[in-house]
Amino acid sequence: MMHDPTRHPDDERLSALASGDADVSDDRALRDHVDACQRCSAIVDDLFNLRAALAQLPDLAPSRPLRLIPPVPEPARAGGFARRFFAPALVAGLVLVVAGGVGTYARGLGASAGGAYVDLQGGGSTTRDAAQPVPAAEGSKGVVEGGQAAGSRSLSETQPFEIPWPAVLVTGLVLLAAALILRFSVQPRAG
Amino acid sequence: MPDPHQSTTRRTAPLPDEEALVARAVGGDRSAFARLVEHYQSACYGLAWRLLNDADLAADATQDAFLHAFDAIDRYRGGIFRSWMLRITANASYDILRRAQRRPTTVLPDPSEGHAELPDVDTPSPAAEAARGEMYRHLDAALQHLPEDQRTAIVLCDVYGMDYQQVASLTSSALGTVKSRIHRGRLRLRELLADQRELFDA
Repeated sequence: MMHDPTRHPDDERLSALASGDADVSDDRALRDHVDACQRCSAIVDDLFNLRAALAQLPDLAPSRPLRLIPPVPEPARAGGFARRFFAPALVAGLVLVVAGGVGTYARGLGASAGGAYVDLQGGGSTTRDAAQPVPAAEGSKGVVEGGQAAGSRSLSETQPFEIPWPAVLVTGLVLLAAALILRFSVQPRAG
Repeated sequence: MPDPHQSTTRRTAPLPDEEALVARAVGGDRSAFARLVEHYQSACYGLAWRLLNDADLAADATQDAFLHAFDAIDRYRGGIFRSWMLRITANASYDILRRAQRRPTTVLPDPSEGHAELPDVDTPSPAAEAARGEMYRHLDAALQHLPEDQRTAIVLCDVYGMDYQQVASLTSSALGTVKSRIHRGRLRLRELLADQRELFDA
């Protein structure tokens, strides 16, 4: 088919021809036209040279130093629990040990002081007598005596509600030991 | 720091032991990965700079690309490592482009402006290299004058050798749209560089 030299193809098809696109490279009429047309052949040549120049554009050095790899995250992970646990456990353990120690010691003093008080109230009776329940059928005297006895009993009945200071002391010691063992047995991985 | 436009090595060549380095990096060797990334950082930055037309944003995109590549290296399935890094960089650049909603400059920049961070232009060099450096500056300046969609397509296709399908995939565009952008972009570049035609004559 004869091409019409006065009718130029769309410039985008010339660009496709310059880059060797298959869909236009097989177009014989287009290639014939370009071969015969000064305008179109100049465009194809320019675009061909342009593509060659674009493909040569050099790499560029970064404008600032870049981090090539992310920082090593493992120190935060390995031993992280031990580090997070250490400080609160240390503080809590110390508080419990001090409180438990003081409480246990004070309870010991209180127990001996309470025994002397009961002895005084019982008029020479033993501590065991003061704590013994009073039968309800002992009459009015019994009631009065029972009232006195109940007063003594109410002192001894507060015992089950007291804080178990020795247990607090032991818990504090366990917590301290656990904190120290975790802290010094878990080593962060080397970066 | 030498001006890359004066450099006789236009593109970073693959490392001699690249395959082994890639295999080690895929296996979790951080130093091997760092060596690869260091080698290709200029290629990645060049692509980002040409897509974003901003040195700081290009450095951000390149940095993002390195981190993404580090996260994805265990899923690397072979091929040319440079192309893999460039695809990740193009994606990172495109993300930044979308976030920043940047638009191309409306004034044709000074050909040397984009390379202000690359001094030593006064270093004596052979005439041929000087002419080539001049051509690169004009090309980069003209690229930055293109509409964003055309510039992106041209940079990915004609500068970094991706095929139409890859460009379409990266830019989430139809194949025909990509081809049209590339062809119109080339024709616009030809107009912009009409006064420097002698620089491009092979």
